Amino acid sequence: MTLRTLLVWAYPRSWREEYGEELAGILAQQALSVTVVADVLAAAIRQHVRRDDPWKICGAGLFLWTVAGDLMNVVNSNWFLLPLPPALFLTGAWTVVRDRSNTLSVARAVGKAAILCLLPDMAAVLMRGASPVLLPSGIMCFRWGIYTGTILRPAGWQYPPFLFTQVVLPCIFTGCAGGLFGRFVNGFREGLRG
Amino acid sequence: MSYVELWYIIIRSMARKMTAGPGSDPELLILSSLAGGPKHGYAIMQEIAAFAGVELGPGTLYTAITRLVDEGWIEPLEASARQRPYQLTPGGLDHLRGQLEKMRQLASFGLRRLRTV
Repeated sequence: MTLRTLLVWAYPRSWREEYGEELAGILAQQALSVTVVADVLAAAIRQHVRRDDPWKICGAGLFLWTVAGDLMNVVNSNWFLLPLPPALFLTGAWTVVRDRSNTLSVARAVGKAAILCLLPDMAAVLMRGASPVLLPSGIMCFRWGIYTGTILRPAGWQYPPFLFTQVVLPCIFTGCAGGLFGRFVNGFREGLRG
Repeated sequence: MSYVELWYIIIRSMARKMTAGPGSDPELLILSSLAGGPKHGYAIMQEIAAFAGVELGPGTLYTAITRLVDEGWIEPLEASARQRPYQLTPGGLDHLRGQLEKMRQLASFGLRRLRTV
């Protein structure tokens, strides 16, 4: 695969089907300087923002953030977790503003973004395995991964309720709050149009 | 070339519309080029470089073409080989005429003011 092919592949699929062949034709007639590559990549990012679903864009950002966090071993620090609620809020708001989605679609979109965010950490867990830890209170937990600061997650039957109450519900609530904000924005815009 | 320089180029090309003047607006340049008859992407790029001295990158060119097609101001014709020619629609012609008229008014106003300085 050449650099020219990769540059065309950087665009969203729907765009490629419409204009990909022409862009490939133009790139074949040009020398690939750094400026041309940067120009094509910037345009590809712009097309993704215009065409892709909001959850894909926010989820991709969160995915990269978690990969960076895992590599730097900071996934359990407060500042690492700080951008997650605003990103999920934005996902919900953007989904409603763009597609006028209902609450169920917002929850689904935010859930997908949250899963993308968790994927790198889950992969790290799978690769490293889990080690049992007995807390002073007598509760058995697993320490996931090799990180010194990783979250202790309850073992056995306690894990699904933990996951649901500590991860899934807060994500969905935050996203739905974003969705409500998106509805407010839509109403405001319609009011402006008169 | 450092990463900082690379990011500078990417951000500059993304912010082109905010920093460039009306004479280098890619959409207006493309519409002006197509006012002379249907052309494909590469021919548009070359003509713009010749008459306006603006080197449009392929990414900028196709971002503008996509927007113009979405607005209904240009339309693609039957493809020849890999390249598809585009032509102005009646709406695109009106839009171009309006924009150029505004530019003409702005230019004559600015030039009148300059004479008094």
